Amino acid sequence: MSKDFNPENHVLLEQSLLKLPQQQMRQTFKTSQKYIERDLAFLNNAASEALESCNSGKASPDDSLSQLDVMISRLQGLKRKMVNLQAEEDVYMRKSKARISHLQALYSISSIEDKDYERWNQIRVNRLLVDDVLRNGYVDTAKALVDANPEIEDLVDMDILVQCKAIETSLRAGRTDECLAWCQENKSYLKKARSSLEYEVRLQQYVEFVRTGKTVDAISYYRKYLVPIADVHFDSVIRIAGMLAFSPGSDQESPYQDLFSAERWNHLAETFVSTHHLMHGITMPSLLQITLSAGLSALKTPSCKAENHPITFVSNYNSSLCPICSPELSELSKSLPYAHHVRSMVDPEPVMLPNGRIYGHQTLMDFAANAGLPAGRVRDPTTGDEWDEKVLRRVYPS
Amino acid sequence: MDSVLKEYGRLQKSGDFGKYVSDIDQLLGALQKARNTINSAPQSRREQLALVKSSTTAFAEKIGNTQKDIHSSLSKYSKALDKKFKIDIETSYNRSAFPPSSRTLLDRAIAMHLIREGHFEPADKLIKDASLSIPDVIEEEFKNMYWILAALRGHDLKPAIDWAASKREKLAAMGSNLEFSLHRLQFIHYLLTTVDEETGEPVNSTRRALQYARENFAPFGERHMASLSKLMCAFLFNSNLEKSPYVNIFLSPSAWDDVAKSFTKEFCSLLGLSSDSPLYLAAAAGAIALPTLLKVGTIMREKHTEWSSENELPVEIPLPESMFQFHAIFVCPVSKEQTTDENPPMMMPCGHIVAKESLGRMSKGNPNQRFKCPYCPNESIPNQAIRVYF
Repeated sequence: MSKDFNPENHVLLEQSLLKLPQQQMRQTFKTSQKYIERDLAFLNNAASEALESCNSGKASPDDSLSQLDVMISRLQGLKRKMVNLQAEEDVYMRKSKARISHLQALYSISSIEDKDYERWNQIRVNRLLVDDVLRNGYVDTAKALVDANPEIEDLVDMDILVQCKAIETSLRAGRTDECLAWCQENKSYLKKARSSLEYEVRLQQYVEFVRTGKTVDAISYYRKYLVPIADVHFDSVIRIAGMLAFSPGSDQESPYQDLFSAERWNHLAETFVSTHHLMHGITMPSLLQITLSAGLSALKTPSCKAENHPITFVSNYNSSLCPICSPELSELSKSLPYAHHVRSMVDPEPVMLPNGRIYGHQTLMDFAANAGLPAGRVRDPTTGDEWDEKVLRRVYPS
Repeated sequence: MDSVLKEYGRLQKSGDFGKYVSDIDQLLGALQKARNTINSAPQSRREQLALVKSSTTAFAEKIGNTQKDIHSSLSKYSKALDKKFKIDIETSYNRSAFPPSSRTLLDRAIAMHLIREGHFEPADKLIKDASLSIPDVIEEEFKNMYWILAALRGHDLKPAIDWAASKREKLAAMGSNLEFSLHRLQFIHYLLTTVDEETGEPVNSTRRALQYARENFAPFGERHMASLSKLMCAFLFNSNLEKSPYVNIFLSPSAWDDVAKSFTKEFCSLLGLSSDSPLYLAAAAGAIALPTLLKVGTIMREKHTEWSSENELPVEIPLPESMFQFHAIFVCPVSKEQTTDENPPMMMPCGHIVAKESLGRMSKGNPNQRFKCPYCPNESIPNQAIRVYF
């Protein structure tokens, strides 16, 4: 089958590799715009005012000097912020460059059996592993992986996933501050995407006040945060107002049980993660999971079982090396569909032993020779049974 | 990738935040100068402040242009990326593949992958982070394996030979001749080495090799006679090996790699594991399979159809056989379906093989109904067919 190598096919799987730093660059750029806009307005005003107050004789020379000092220090502040953004930008540019080179390396590979491809794939698997373990919050594992494979350092996005996990964990622990701060940072995206994340989190904060009997706090929180967005979430805002009339917990019949449920926090955590990933263009299952779900099926055959396969090194088809039958992956592959095949693939010159097992003729000869059997004897590599080679019967699978 | 690379180059040139900083520096310079001038010559104040005003206006324009440049190169780069990465790969994901309950299994598979790749540090961290229980002995075995491999790389065969000798019976049972291969390589190595590795003293290579052969080859006489006599004949050509008929067995450039490979393979086998990490193989196969699955997914969405069989992928994935085929596959030539335990391969008396269901169909469900083999003139009845195993 095809060993032809099409680099484009590999490149198309790697969208978040380049899009993530690009998106961070956009974010940085937006931040720079904000800073500039604010400080520019200030400087323009200050310059006009300095000139006018001097012209009108209102300002003394000392006043003018201190007006200039204010401008200078404002400008120095802007410079400091820009230098910081420049440093951030440099990181994203460096990462983008490393990633482009990583993908470009694919274009010099000619075959899937190339050693270079194996090396490339090893790097790929390592960075996929970092991404996957980070999604579970295994930061130490991720760091150790990067330490052991320094070449992937610029190819992984630790910070984003670490932050995401921290916020997710805080929500599961019943804290809203971290998530609300994140919402604040990404206000414009959330608005554009019509995300209800912030509303849901605020709503939960309100529920917590009610739950703990802090009615006054609940009312003021409701007024401050929920009323202003009542137009978008009208029904919900109206509905939860009635919550104050019920005391939580004691009343099994409360119509607000869903909101009082502890499951709500998990729901919020999941909503946050999906919103976060959508914003960054990160897939919900990890790229490792996506790759494995395809790869496990592509390798799986109806013969794949958890049982131990015979260990032989002579057949073309060495089932003892099958990854799907391996103790590591057999359980994981259980529920997956198997590969579609339209042609048989069996050892050449198939012969059958009296027990119904079929092997290539050469396979049996090689196995007998390696096992040091006397001439004319054959041994079933699977069952270990021995026969005279006269019992072999040629079969015609297709 | 060329368009991406081109736009990246543009971004690097005109998207640099350093320009902001130099714009700011320029205005800072102007402001500082105005301040100094006013300080030393207060009468110039009006003129200087007018200058400050115009510098600020110029600065606004300038930084505006810088902003425009950065913005435009950034959006061109973004567009190049959007164009390159149009497909949402998540659509090919099999949603039932990894339910949350499978997390530990996946973590375990990753930890095992790390151990067998020799990444012990990350593996230990993962075992801790994910609270996995993997017997220490597995890690120790692999540490041992990497230690033996390191020795092999340094052309020291002793640890490998000791290991193979300690597993002699198990290795023989699976048809391995690793131990003999190792001894043979040691013999050849001695024959080709004129300087003792440890002492650096010159050695009589012929004598050392011969002595080694006498001490070690005897147990292999029975099984590997042919190979042994070749070796000993080659011995006679020692002074002129390059031109001897034995040049291949002696000077194979990959001899050390080959032996390391089969050592790894058989070491792993005795642990009940394959030598290539299953996770690595599955990920490699996935990278090859995904583009095809994505294409099929797109077509099926366009035509509003779905997979007809949920047990089987909708298309054939062209994986290179040599790397990814581990089981013989039998596709029934009549029904074109792969045989399974439920629908196993059956051999008719003529030696042709079909799936059990096909057999039933050809005999109209009657186990004693005679029917003609679809591939030869022979006739038989289903009850004569026997179950075979590939």
